[in-house]
Amino acid sequence: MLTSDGFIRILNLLSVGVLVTGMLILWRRSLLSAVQIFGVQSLLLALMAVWIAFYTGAAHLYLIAFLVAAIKAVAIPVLLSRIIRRLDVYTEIEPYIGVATSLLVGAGLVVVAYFVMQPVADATNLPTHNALPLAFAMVLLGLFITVSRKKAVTQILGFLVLENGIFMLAVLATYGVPTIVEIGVFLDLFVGILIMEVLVYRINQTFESVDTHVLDELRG
Amino acid sequence: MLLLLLSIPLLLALIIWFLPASLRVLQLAHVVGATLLLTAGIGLFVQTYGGAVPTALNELLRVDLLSGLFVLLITLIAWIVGLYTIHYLMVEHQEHGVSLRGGRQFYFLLNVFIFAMLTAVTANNVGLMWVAVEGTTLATTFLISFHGTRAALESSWKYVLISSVGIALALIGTILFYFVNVQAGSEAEHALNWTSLRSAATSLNPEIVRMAFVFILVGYGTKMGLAPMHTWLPDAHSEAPAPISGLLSGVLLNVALYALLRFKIIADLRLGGAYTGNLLLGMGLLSLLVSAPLILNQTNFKRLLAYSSVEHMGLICLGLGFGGVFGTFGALFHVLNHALNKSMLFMLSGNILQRYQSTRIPAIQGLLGLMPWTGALWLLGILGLIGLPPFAIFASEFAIFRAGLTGGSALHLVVGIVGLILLSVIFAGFVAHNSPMVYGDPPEVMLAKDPPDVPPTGVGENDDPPVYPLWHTLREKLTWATAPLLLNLGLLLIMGIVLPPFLRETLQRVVLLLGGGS
Repeated sequence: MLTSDGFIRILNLLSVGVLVTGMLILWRRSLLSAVQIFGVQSLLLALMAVWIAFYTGAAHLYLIAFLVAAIKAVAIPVLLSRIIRRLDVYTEIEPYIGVATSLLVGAGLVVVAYFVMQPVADATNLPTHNALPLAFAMVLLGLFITVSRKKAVTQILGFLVLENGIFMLAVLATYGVPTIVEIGVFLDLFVGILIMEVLVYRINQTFESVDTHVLDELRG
Repeated sequence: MLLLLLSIPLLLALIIWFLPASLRVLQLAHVVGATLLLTAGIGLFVQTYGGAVPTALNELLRVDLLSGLFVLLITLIAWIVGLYTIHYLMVEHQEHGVSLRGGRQFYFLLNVFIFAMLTAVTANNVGLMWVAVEGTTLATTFLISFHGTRAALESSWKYVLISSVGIALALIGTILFYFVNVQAGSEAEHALNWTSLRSAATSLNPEIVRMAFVFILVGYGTKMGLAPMHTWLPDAHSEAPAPISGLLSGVLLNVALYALLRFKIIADLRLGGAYTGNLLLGMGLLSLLVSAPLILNQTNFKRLLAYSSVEHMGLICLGLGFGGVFGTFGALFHVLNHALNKSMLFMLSGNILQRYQSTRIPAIQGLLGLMPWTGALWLLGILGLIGLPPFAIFASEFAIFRAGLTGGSALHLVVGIVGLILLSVIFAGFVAHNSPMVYGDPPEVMLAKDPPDVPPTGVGENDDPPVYPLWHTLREKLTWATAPLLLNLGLLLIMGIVLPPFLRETLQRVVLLLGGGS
């Protein structure tokens, strides 16, 4: 049997890997590579779930890990890449907030996450508790990407990073929520992304742009 | 009965998927289904009123009186909306190029939407509840963009993105509640069940419960349209087709409120009522503050109604925040009244839009003369909405503010007074907007004896006077577009004058369930 020390070391490594991918998404302007990085992040999360399942014997996490890998690491990146190619929008040219500032804000959000999640991390003696703030940092990063970018595809990506953060939180804090709920959440997410895809096509058709700042007719 | 209730809209959606694309057939199927659904809803409510607490699927679903009340509300309004769509969609099809396949998609999504709402209010598992509430967002996105105009696309994009992101925060809150429940020693498999949370409530870690409730409040508050997370609401509710606006404002906001209430019960058991109460007071007051000036300066009558929904959700929060028997009772009573009143007005706004081809307030004149049924219902509905007696909203607002002003707390007193001032601003705004719409003569062009035979131009997107087909200039008769709404008005009058005893008892018992008696 693996020592708890070794388990934690690998787990922390995976968590830091997830955070790095989050920062990379913030940094890259190329939408295709941002989508690929998101795929890598999801794969890391799937590995994390497998690792925890292996160590703790929480067998339902294997199924969840498979779903993450299939939906978030493969299906959704394929879907998003298709949108990018079809609509011919490869870069986020002028985000509302520049890249350098974004990275600074991102770092700040990680610090905030540590403060907010400390009570939760303190409340448990699970071997996973050290990485909890990183999960919440992903949530905040996702939120920030969604509000600071103009392209609809990047906003979807921000939402997905946020979802990954929530998934990581659930896996670390409670070894995942009961399977039926987890499956429901995946279903919502997948259908949600499909709906957003259709909407992006329609918006592109109607407005001839997927910069969401053209969506400014409704005010007051 | 519980599984029957949920299976009706699900089966109906499936059947509609395979029906031929004919409005008559679709509408017949939907109305029959909605009537069955209402019957099942009433049946389930009567069961819970009699003290039963039916459960199903290994306690995944559980219906107590609080759920029963919301089931009754959802099925009733869905039934009225179903009847209303008969006339509405026919006109949309004949004049606005809504295809028959579009009509089928409409009824399909409508039933999925109703299914998701009913699942949300009957779920015992708060994770499932979350899945269902997010499901309502997904089911309604394409209903909001139904007309396919630029504005409709813009609003549905904002809607799906902001609601999904917002409600993701509620998922974090849900996971945190699960976390503290497992920490407190509850069995992991059932620790997401509301009943499990309630029985462990007093041993939950209070610090994390506080934090989790904030996530829940922001998350479900987004879906409820509370300021400052309300920005998607006026767009979505004003661009959606009228029957959908009616359901969104009248029912869906309350489903989000229901989710919030479930967690409030747990949090209050651990923290006492003051913590959640003060948060709700803050959000409620902010919602009134944000909506009042926008109501005052509004030029679009559907957005006017939408901002009024932000206001009324704020009022409900005030009632819950004041707490006590009166505050909580008033808030719950207000939920019912607002649902009936606002869904009626939104459906009427659809009639007005179809006639006048505009959502601009200045474009609407002489409603009473041209459309006596719609006009009269609209006038009475607006008077009810702004809280004039003898309509029911007067009674519930009275109860809410009585709780605030006489509770003996200085904070509540101040909030209550500021709330009343804002309410009178909103009152003035509605009266000022409404009088020119209702009275006076219809625009010249609508009275033309011999209107030019040209299809109507765009729906109020520019300032050019639209051109009307013949029937738009005729005096309105009683049709499916108005007749079902007489029920809303009748109920609002009855409930405003004397609250039926069974309803009074229901509300009182739900107040106890919410801990408002302590």
